[in-house]
Amino acid sequence: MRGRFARVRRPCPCASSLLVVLAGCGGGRDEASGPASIFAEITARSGVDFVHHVERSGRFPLPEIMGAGCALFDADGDGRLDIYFTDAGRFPGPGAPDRLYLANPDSTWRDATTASGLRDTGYGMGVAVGDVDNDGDLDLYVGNLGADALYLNDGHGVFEDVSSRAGISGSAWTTSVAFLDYDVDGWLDIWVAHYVEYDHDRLCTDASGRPEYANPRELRGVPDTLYHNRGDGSFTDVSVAAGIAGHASNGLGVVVEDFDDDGWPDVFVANDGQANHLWMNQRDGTFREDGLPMGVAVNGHGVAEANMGIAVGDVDGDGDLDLFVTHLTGETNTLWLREDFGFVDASERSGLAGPSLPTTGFGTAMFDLELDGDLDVVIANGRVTRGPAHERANIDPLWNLYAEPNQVFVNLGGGRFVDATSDEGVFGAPVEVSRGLAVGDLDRDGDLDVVITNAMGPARIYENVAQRRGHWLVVDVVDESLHRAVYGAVVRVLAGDRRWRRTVSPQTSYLSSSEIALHFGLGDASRIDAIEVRWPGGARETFDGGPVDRSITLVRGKGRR
Amino acid sequence: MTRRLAPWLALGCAACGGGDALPAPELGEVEPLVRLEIARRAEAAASDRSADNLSRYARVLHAHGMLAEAEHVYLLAAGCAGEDLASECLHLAGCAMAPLQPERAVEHLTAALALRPDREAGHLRLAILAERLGKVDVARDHYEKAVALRPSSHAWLGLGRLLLQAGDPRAAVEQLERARALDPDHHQVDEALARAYARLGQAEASRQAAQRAGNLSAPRPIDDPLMAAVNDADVTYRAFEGRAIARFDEEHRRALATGRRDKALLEQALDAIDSACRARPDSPTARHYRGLILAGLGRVDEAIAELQAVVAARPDDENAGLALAGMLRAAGRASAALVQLDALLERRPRCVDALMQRAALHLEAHETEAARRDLRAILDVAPDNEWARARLRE
Repeated sequence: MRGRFARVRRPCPCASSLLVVLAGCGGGRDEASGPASIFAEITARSGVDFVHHVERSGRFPLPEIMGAGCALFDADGDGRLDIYFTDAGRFPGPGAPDRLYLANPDSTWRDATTASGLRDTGYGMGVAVGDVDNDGDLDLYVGNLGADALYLNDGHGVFEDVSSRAGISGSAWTTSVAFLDYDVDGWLDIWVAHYVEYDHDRLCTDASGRPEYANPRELRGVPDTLYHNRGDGSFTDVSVAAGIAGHASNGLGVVVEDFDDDGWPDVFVANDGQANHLWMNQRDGTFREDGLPMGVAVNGHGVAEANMGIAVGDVDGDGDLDLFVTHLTGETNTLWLREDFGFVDASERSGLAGPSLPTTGFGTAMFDLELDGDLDVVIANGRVTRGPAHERANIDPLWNLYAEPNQVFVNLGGGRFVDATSDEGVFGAPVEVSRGLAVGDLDRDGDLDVVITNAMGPARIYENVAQRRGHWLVVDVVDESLHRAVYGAVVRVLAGDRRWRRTVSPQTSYLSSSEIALHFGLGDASRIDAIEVRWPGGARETFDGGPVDRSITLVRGKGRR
Repeated sequence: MTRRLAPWLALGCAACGGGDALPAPELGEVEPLVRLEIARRAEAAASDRSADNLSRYARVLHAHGMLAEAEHVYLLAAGCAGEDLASECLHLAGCAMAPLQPERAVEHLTAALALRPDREAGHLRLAILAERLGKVDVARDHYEKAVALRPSSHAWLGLGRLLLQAGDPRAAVEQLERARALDPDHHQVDEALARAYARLGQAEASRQAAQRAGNLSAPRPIDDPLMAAVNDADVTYRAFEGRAIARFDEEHRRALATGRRDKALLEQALDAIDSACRARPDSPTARHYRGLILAGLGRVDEAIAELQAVVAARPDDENAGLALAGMLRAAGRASAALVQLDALLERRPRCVDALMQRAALHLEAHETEAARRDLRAILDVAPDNEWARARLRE
């Protein structure tokens, strides 16, 4: 499958082809979704009929409420985004099989699970996508409550479980997973976040004695696992040697980013009810935990909150990376802005704090919804303990007590947000127990769409139909010698006095993996001056700019050094 | 009364007149003890809608996590209460709503403080909530009022945080060091100091503060007598105690099922029961179970002390008396065990288990006549008792 990695996306210069399918030829965005809409829900017509299965036992085992993730990636090499969903089933087993939906040319999807060989029946949690054997196609790591699985892609969307021979072992409760090249040797390694030691026999109750999902603060955390890719198809557990094995915690979200701009990937782990970990890469195969001194271990009140999903991006447009983490009811979602000395909790002044106090956030993403040049935020919500039923909740009498609407926040510029959920009217309409969230340009029209998973509910697909306020650029960053996208590459797009930064690191949010290609909303910039790439290890290249509203591929070695 | 009290006042007036239905939460799965207490208080409030009855009903709902219902009843109570109780109810309504609807919580806390501006915990709660909602001026005002009432680490910490947010780390350090002087073990203060020193470029001071802060988990609770009273309600404690004991039973059963004394399980059970004992140190039931667990762990002297305390508190507690006697006997303190059994049998002369234990003690001491008397007494009460019959034959 060599060469497939470099396939250029199919730019769609006119109106969304998907929207045309849905609303009739020539239908404008506003006709399909109303003038205030940002999203149109297209699940029913998409062919995606995935429903997350949990056999409720009545004993309220914690895994039931944790939901599952999804991944948006090109499984069969046809240039379109396919969708993978993890599924749960019964706890303890047997699990329900995960599902793969392949994209059709008309922006619908078909269930290809059986043919793909991806019938993972573990109690599914997180999923990560990356090319671990550098053969030009995308492989899959599925994190389970129980044994995880690594699947190799044959390039045509048929997968083989190679976990055993690859040395993927262990039975801890895996949550989010991320591929990274932590030692910059050209082979993708794997960071596996683990949650808690869970005792199924333990019956937990709420304050009134009703059976209720356990408070993870009362359970023992588990250290994360780091697998080193040996480049021969096998992996070695290097957690001890890397210095991460001694830090047990309740890991849920993981993101890989270069937080100190030294060219080496660092790792942020969101821990549920405990201090977050910021693992700074020491460039010698080890990591140092710097969460507290860097200001991201706890919120600005000095409190370790129930940290769930993660989004990273430059929300205030100052060129550095800011960090957003979703939290429990009664806690704010937290936005940490990067400053010279570390991070500052700017949740309140950003406008993201207040509206999040009544909600429990899980999956989240930062991207430019309306292409105005700044990053907006979407959040998948759903409680973990019972609360008053939302007036629009309509699942079942018990599950209604956990359901919440999702939220969308629009950046007004400079990192100040407004909650647009009510005005928008579509994204927050279903009241469900949402968990996973991933973004990608599903219809190849130059903006990012959203897929959400719901615990014990249907997945939902939202097409971005926001009124466009600017231009866009999609960038694939590849290394021909590796035959794949370069995870960890930092890309800066320059136009006039503005610059935008993204990193190739698709695993963010909660249990989920978004599209690998980098999406830039450019506002009124009608031409790009240049694109700078910092490759893993620190080498830099500059590529020529050019027109906007297109997809491009930057190949390592073909720019100016 | 101020104008801002009008909404709940109207609600309360309707309540006292019987015009507004009391919320009746779904209690299907609620623990029987709690269900009973909620039903009892609901009935009292329904039959006599006094502020006191309504307030008592609201507290039990609050204590057991039925927050929306609790808020409703607190507001009903506040509407027909005198100023003091109305302020308490509004304060607690604010506490209940803080995680669900923070804006409403701010309204309730503000109304409570309008009636009783001298309540430091109210100012602190309102300040923290306002800070979280980005209402910086409101937060600062109430932190300052809290400090004026009683300087506390929470208030200085809040003021320090606000200064840090406002971009004045030097002034923030000043306030935070005041907080630290008052409470050197307040980890949130150290964490804020770490951030403040970092912004001042004082890396070493920042790292030292971060190290003192450690791995922060839960916030330091505010000293709030009203909320403490809610959480300390008898019914809350009894439910908690009941669950701890149920947990012990479950763990113990599992230990027995494995055919061994599983130390890890018993230690987990000890943790659970210790929590119950801390919440209410004078609970005989919790101490009874604690004694049993300690005995299981081989900590016999401590176990005996626990059981002696239980028996002293509840001389009629047959199970505790028997357990104590058994432990004394197992510890080789036969005469003390005998005294314990004598005392128990004086109160309950037909207690077969006590008679059996005492007969066994007599037999071990070769006091045949005394043993025979107890064995016959056993058969008088339980003619089918094979153990006593066999011992008599011997």
